[in-house]
Amino acid sequence: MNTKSASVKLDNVTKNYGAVTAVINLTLAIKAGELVTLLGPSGCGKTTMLRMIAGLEEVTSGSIQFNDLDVTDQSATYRNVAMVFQSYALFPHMSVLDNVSYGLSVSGFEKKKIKAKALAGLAMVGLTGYESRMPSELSGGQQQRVAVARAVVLEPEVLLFDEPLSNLDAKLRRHVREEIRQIQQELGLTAVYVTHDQEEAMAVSDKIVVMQRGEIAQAGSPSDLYQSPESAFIADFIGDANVIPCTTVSTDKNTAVISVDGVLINSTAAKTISTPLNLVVHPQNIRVSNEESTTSLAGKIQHAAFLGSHIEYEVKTEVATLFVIDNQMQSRYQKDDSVFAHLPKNKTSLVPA
Amino acid sequence: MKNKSLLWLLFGATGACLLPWYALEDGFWAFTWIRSLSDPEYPSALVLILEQSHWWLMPPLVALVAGFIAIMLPMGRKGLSRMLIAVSLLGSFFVIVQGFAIGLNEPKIFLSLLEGSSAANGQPGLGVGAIMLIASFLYLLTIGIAGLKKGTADIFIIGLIGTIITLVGVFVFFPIAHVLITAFETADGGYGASRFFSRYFSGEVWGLNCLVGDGVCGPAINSVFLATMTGVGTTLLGLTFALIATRTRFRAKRLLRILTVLPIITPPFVIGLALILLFGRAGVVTEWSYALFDIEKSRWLYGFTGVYLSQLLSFTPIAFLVMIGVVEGVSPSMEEASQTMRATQWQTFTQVSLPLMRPGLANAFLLGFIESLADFGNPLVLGGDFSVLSTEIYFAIVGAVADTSRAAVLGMVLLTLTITAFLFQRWWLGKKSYATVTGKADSGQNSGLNSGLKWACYLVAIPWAVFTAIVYCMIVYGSFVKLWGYDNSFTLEHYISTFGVKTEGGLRFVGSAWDSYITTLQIASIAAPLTALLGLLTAYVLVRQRFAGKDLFEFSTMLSFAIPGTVVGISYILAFNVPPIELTGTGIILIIAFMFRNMPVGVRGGIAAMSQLDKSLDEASITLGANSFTTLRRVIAPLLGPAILAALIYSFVRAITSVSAVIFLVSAKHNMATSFIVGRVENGEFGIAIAYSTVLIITMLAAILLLQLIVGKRKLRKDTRVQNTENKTRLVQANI
Repeated sequence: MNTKSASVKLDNVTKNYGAVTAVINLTLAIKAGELVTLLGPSGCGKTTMLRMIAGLEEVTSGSIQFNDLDVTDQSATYRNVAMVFQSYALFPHMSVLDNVSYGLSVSGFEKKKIKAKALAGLAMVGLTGYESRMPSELSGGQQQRVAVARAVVLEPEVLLFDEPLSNLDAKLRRHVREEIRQIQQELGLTAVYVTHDQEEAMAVSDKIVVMQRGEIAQAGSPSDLYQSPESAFIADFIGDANVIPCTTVSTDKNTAVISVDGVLINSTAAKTISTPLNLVVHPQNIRVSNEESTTSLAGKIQHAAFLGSHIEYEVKTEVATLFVIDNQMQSRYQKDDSVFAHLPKNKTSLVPA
Repeated sequence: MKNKSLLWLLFGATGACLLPWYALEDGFWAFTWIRSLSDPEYPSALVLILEQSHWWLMPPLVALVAGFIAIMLPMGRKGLSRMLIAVSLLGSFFVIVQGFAIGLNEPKIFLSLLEGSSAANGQPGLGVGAIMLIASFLYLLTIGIAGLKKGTADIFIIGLIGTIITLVGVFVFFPIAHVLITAFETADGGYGASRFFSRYFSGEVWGLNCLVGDGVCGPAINSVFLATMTGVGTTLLGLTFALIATRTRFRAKRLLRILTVLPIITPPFVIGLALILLFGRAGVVTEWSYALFDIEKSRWLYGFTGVYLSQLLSFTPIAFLVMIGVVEGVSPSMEEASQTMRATQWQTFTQVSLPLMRPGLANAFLLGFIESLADFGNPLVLGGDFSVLSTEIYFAIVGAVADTSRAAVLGMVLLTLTITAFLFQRWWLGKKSYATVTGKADSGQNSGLNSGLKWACYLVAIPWAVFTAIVYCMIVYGSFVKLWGYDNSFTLEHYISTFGVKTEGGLRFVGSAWDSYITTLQIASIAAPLTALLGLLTAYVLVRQRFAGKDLFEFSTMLSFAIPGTVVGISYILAFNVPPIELTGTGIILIIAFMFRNMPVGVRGGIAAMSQLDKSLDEASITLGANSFTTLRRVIAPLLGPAILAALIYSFVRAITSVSAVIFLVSAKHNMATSFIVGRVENGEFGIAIAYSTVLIITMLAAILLLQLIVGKRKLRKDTRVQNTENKTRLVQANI
């Protein structure tokens, strides 16, 4: 484990741009060696938060601490951070080796040491032999790996990623994100990672912080967020889940019986039962057939798309239009077919409407 | 922070205690002062206080000492910052007040306080020691301000902003304020508004007698009329050329491009000279038409017609460059859309393309308008009885009775006009334009011109281009002719008398022009890098930093463009002829004048280039632990190659060709090429003037090529390369 990795504490951080508030009273603790993702739709304040951790934006109020040391008033130059940018931000007039050496050389290391460290960094991202290339002679994936090496060789207290994969094509994205995760874990780096792609967030994170309009909507491990969302927003954003209006019929300690348009199903009890309620059902847990059952809702296929491995349906029912993923593909339905959508007996959760 | 403060305090203390406080007769670089620092002839502030009882220099030194005490005290960052700010504000306040209070020969204000003291004899202007002390206060102030801010504030950046604001304040606003004050001077030496307004609005300036009566119009009316005509003329000609260059398959497009470089390297009165060779009383055309058609020789060229013609020739290429950008900015897909809806080429042009170009046309008009108002060289050579503001200001200063007050009033009139046009232009460009650079790749072809319009363009443009070519040939040809119109034999006499060299007894430069030629090159080559540096640093601050008052800051750096050269000239002689800042007669005043007149070129070029560099490059460097200065040096500067080159070339060339401001500021010791040439023109020695101009043009071409070789060697990747042509366009656009 990298001994230099720091824990990060954000305490009531607020950022205003004139009358616009980008981040509101955000408090968050990140353990050393942890990779935390800030996830959210564009404009939710996640990049602003990242840039405040980097020291590229001033906080309006609140404080930022690395290892319990207040760094709020330090500028980026003096914070021990390194950042990987969406646009790679490789210096186009320097070779790959010069790019990776840059941070070391401005920090005043000896020349020999710089070169050894830079070469080790390049080896780590699998780019040995590319030292004298110019950035423009590399592919997008290679460029981003140089950017990662450039950041990692500084052994920063906190490593920051600003949507590092969004300029790469889909296949490469998966590959590079695995590499980033591997390097982060090997070196035990504290990392903060910004993305708007929930799949990417699930794949790399120890902890995901979902942001909405400048505030934390929910924070937790990927599986927590997926299985027990606390709001309709999280359910929709993380799992593309169906959010169906429902009412409680009865509750006991662990389970609740709820009614969706008269159809009764059991659900794990929500922590605080309030009304009105929404039932969260993931699309692959709904089954479509032409036979009725006790948990089925009658509906009509509005849209059907065959995607090879599965079929996606939109089923219009009395209460909601349901998004369904059918992995079995035993039978196929066409637009305007009358069908029944079967809600699962478990695997559902409740959120306040 | 403490270390940096200590460094600047020591710097200030060195200035105050060891170096001469007053400006030196023989200049700092003569180093005569170094022989003896305690020599009463070159006293430092400390010596002045102790030995000559200049007690008014005490307060700044006390402030400096307070600064030393402040950094010794155990204080928090905020507290120390506040102390530094207080110390530096007080210190610089005292330096400035004493500078203005005690003039060259006697005290000016606080008379009772200074009565009977050694101040009665006055004091010279501020020297090296004083400047070092002021600089030290300035940077202590910026360190203090940086200390009060949190997070991203950077001592280097705030120091940079402080430097630029101070320089622009001292060398742009302070002189203009002087003009304003002088304009309000009354006949008895006091100040009053009534006389100013009566002179400002007098019939002598704004008279309309040429329209209603049978007299002549005032110079303001003449200037506005000429500027409007020039604006319209150059815009139309520029549009014509731009249409040919972009919308036809005209073969000689490259030649058109060459045409655009010419005005940049042509001293402003040279076109006027060539026109005299063609149409003057002894001109070629005049002689022929007399011989062939018996048309009487006349002086029709001298007056409105001549000035108008020469301004059209001088400024059309600039309008052309602007209009190329405008015409190319019209998205081809709009024209294609129009044509698919069954519009003809003519309908497409008049109903789609032309309306889309309207803001660009207005911009080109305003550029021509301002350019014409500020023009000095052409009216000086060809104006005759047609008086315009820029030349009237000159004659008010150099005329039989030097009337600075009248010059100041006329300067205010001219300044009002140009600044109004400048504000109007900025307002116009600031409006949301519906033209059309989207950043999306826009394939497709601009529609061609219909044949009627095409031939109309050819018919206007080709003769005009030929005419321009003839004018330039005249310049070269005329320099080899003995006495134009009277003795047309070939001669090298003009070159020999100006640039003659004798080899006997060692190499001797005996030509009459060598002095001014060498001074010009020296001053231009000192001014060019300084101008480029100042302009690009300002651009960096504007593009990359956010701070309160940034809009005002940008506006004030661009404003010096709207100040015509003649106004700069008189403002400098008014402001820098007396202490506290005494610069007239030195080479420094020329360098400074060039720096601040040409700085906006560097600013615009730098802004254009820097906006194309992704901001994440800076941020990457900063998060990797580099400070702003290192980032600027190692990341930004290397990527700005072309912009640096353009700024260097432009400020070098402008320093050589400029005449309007220079003519007020030259001295016997520091004469410049252009003012030398104007002197020859006034004596009627056209041959010499033209020969010298030819040499200047060739010098500038050589310099451009040389700079391109030196700076252009660094090879940059394609994706970061700043579009060179676009850059040039912007530079020329900026050149008002």
